[in-house]
Amino acid sequence: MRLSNIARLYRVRLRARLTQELFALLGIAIGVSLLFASQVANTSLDSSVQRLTNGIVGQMRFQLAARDSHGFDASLLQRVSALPGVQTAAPVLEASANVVGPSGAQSVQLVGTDPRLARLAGGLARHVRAPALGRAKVFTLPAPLAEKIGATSIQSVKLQIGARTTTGLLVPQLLVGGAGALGQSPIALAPLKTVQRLTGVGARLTSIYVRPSAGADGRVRTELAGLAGATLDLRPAKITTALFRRAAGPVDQSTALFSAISALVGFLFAFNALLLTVPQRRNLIEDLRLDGYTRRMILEVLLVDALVLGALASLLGLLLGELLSVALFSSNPGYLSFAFPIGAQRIVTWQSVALAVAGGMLAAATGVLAPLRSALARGERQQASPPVHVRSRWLLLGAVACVIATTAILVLAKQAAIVGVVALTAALLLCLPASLDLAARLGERLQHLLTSAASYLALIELRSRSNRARSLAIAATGAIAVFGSVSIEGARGNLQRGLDDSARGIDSRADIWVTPAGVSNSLATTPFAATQGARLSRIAGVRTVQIYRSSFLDWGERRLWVIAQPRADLHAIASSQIVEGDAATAASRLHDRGWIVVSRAVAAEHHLHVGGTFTLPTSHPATFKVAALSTNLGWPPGAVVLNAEDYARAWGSTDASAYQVEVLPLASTAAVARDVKQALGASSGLRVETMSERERLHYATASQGLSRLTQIRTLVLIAAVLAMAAAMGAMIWQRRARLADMKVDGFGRAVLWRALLWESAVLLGLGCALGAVFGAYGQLLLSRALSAVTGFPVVEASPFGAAVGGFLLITAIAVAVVAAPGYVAARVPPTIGLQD
Amino acid sequence: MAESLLSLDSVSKSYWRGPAEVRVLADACLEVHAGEFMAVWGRRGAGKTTLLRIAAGLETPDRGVVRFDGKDLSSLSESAHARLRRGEIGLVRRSGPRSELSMLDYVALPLLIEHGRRQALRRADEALRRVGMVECAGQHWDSLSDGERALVAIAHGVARAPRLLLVDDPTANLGLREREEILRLLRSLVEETNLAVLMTAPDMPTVLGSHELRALSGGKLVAPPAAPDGESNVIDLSGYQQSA
Amino acid sequence: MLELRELVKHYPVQDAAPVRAVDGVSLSVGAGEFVALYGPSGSGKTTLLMLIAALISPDAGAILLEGNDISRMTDREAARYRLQDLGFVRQSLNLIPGASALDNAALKLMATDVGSREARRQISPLMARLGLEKRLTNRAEQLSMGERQRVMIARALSTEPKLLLADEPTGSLDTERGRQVLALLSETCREREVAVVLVTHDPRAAAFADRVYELCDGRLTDHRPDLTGTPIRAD
Repeated sequence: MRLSNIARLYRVRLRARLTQELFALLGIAIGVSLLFASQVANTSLDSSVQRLTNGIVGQMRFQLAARDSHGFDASLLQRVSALPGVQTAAPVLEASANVVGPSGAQSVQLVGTDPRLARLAGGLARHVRAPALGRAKVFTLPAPLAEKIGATSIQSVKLQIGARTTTGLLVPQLLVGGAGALGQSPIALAPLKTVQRLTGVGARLTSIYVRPSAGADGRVRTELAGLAGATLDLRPAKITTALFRRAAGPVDQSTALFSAISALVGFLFAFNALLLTVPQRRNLIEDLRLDGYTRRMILEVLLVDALVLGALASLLGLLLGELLSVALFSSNPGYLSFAFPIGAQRIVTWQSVALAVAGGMLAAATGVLAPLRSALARGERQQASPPVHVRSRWLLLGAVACVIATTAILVLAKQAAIVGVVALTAALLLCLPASLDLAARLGERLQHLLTSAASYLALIELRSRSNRARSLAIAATGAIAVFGSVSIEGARGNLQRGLDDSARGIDSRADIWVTPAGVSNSLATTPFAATQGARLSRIAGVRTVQIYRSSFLDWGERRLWVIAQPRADLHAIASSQIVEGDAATAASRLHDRGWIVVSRAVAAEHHLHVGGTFTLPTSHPATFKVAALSTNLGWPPGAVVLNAEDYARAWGSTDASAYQVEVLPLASTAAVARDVKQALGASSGLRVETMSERERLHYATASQGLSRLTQIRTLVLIAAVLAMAAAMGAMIWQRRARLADMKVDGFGRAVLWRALLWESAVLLGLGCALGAVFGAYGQLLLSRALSAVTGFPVVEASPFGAAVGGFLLITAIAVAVVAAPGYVAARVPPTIGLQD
Repeated sequence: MAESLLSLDSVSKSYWRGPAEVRVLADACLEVHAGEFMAVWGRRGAGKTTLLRIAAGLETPDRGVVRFDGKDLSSLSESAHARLRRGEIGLVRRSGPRSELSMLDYVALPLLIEHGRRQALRRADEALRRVGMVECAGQHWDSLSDGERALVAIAHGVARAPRLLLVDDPTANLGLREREEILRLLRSLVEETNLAVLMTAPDMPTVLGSHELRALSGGKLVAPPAAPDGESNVIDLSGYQQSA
Repeated sequence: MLELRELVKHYPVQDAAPVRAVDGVSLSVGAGEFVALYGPSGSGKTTLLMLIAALISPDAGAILLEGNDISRMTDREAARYRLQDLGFVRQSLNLIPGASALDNAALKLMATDVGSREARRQISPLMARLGLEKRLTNRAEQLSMGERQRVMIARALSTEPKLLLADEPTGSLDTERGRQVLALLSETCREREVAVVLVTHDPRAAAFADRVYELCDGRLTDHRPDLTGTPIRAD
């Protein structure tokens, strides 16, 4: 068939179904936009870290890295450079710092390097050849960050590094040009010497980047491994990207899952709209066949429908998604920025676009073709199809199989939770037809109770087969929306509770916390020289001052959170965080030398078990026995807990990450905190927080990290209510002729309206109720999977409150929205039932 | 003769069809008495259905008075109109139920408001029995032939035991034998139950079995000429019946 | 030209004997001939037409068009046959809503190699012949029932078929308009030497035919219903 003819046919048919097409367009666009926005949000984080890494590392191949912030002696650089086969070796000193400008502070990763790296590196490091303005400590920030802290021109600003405060000369415009792509990455660059002076560590480095000459990779690797020995890490230069991906994985996954469910709601919306034009299309197919169109031609005609719809909807969806990702999804999961330099820029990859468009096209093709399967079927039209109730019985069997599969996954293979959710969604959709039949049959059984004409009319409509596809689509929309809302929001709640629990477990160890400043140090992972402990303990009202040690440790592709509690603290880990082993035993073991608690995921990766022995790859590697296995304590890649003295031994440092100040029973915490601050002095880089302040910060951070899920949920619910109301409204509207007929027979407006409301309530309520039941199960599945697979601390709450709440809320809103078109339709003049 | 059941007194009605005003009824007068079978013949578009709509109180005339049982229809409230249509005026139309009801449910539908479901179904069953369609009670509209549909539609109209039955072109699409069956049924209903029937039809042969005949033409209701003219395309039914 | 030989089509019914919708029908129709099959609803008329249109295949018997057995065609061949050799006019007037009369009539030509512009040009004379020259650009909803049926006839005849099947073409029309449409149909087909098989329950429609058969319970009888009165012949 000629393409121009197909196009003409599309055009002449469009006029009569423009409204329905627009509804379908909107539905698909909503689905596409949610898919796209969540993809952009996820890839933005990944890509931001990746670009930053590339920006620094450029064409370097290997990284020889220290295992703590003290680094190693700079003389190692000469030895590395002298290795045969090494083309370039570039030194780097990194430290976390808090830059305090005139109008705000900004946590940054302070990176010191030298022109050797700059020659080979990407955009960022090239700017390090800053003019050496005498002995001034010059550093630079990306322009947007500099603006944020109010530093618009060259000026002297305060830098808090560990316990020190120092000043540096900020030259903001250095990064305006070539490094613009790095936008808002929280990174401060300076020549190596400057950073060494700023941090006060002297001639030390935290890593050396190496580029071997051509073909010398293997040799250089061996030689570097020899140099690294047991105290340094030899890793690929771009390791940070992998570390970050591991850390962000669980959040990315849950966002993607939720987006997929919301996209499904959007597509159901579209499906609802497309069902409106099914009779029209079916007539057309019948006519076309009579007129000698082959099945292929008819398929071409319909595919063009789908193609145009899918293309336009995808385009609109991408635009909407762009808005959505700018307006709603821009916040990054805050806690990840504690360990990684994450920029705020949005990065759109072609994969995100392709995925969203593919979803849109698939939805359009399914929406256009699926309801016409029978009309397009090969062979004779009179072919007997099995009666509806037989088919729904088979579907019900399928649903049962899916539930069994989900249960098997829940019990046996929690890592396949995504498959479980898909199976559960399928089960939900498969059991809808049977449930609808059951509801109708139940209504028939209870007919003697339904004495009102309205309820009887509603029952008749619910039984009607011509409404069936539409009824199912409407019920499915509600079901999926409630299902997604209950299961994911429930899992989110459980996770939030677990995170809060974990934060409380650590924060409540002290009345007052003294830590280095900066948002990125919220977990108190920046060590500093513990020189002021004795002074603080002499302050009035202070009972004890203990040293708390914590930092990040890269082990394989995981950036672990190391927590070292003071030995005196026997309840180092809340029992809810222990997943294998006994909490009390673990606590007493931790009190002894050489015991450690490891997150289960880390243990699984390194084949560790309770009581087993292993060597932790620290700067002074030490052997530990596993006291117990824990959750990840809220840090996605995992955590280890040991006592502070063991930490000092394994890291070869007596540095603290925080002072834990206990206040005497009758002293005021606030007053003591004030005194502590005063005692530290204005030149200190340390921050003083009470326990409650710190808890608040941690709760806020955790919920910010998960807020995207709540936002998507809200969008899903709005989309679902709109979809159901629109579909139901359209169904009611198309029924006006029938309503007019009944008015001719003497039915009043009120009876008809009540009948419509009854029908809507049953249909929407049925879908939402099923969604709630399955949602409760989904919540269980997701929570278990989160705790099992990612090791997040999860505190399960009963899902029934959320399930019942979600069910009632959505049903009530949807019925309320349907009431308006129902009322208008019930006012139809009876005369249209008697047209010439 | 007794007081008329339905009377149309100088009723006029016009429509706007695009820019043109179409006058479908112009001072039309009509009286139908209890136990009378009145047929109105007219071409498609002549205003037959409008006439029925006005008689049923579904539409108000531009001018003139419509009385049912002596009451001016224009003076009744909407709910009184609905009550009238539920009980005293039955309408037989061709469209059928626009949903998948069994024919028993379809016939019972208008009875639901006044009666309980059990009672409604019993009366529906009686009505189907009366038109000879009781074996189709469980079937759906789509599975019926045109003739069967016409019979069910009549059952739907008479199930509420109305005093006036308005019948909109009951024999459309029917073969000759089926037409005659429908007309015989309507005649017998009129004779047995003192029902008044007002029927419209586009063809002359259909109306021949009625007591009274009016032609609707130019908006006026007139008694037809004694002998049908050539244009009306009359076929003698009785002759066909004999040969069949 | 068209020959039906002992055609049988049964439909299975759950828990009952199969319905014998077409039960041994033999018929032959010559070029330009107008044959009416008269019968009440449910007599198997539509099944017979669907068999001739190769939409369904018979349980037994043969359908020959110029010697070729239609019932043995593949789906593809059947579609080609419907496109080139057959026109089909139905009772239901499913015009594409919102589209003009011209576009609606050109629908069938669009399946051929003719472009849409050329298709609309080609069909214009036929539209004029059917009295629709002033309604070409009117949308489907703006046409009267009679005009809609004439658009459907134009569509059916647009590919210059040898055979036209008409299934109750006057079912949606009143007496007068039905008569006009039938007159036009028979005239146009005679001019073009198109054979017509018309099924109807309307005895007057049968009056336009060269031959009339009655179809009853799937069987064809050569019985001509006794129609007194003077049916008006178009010619």
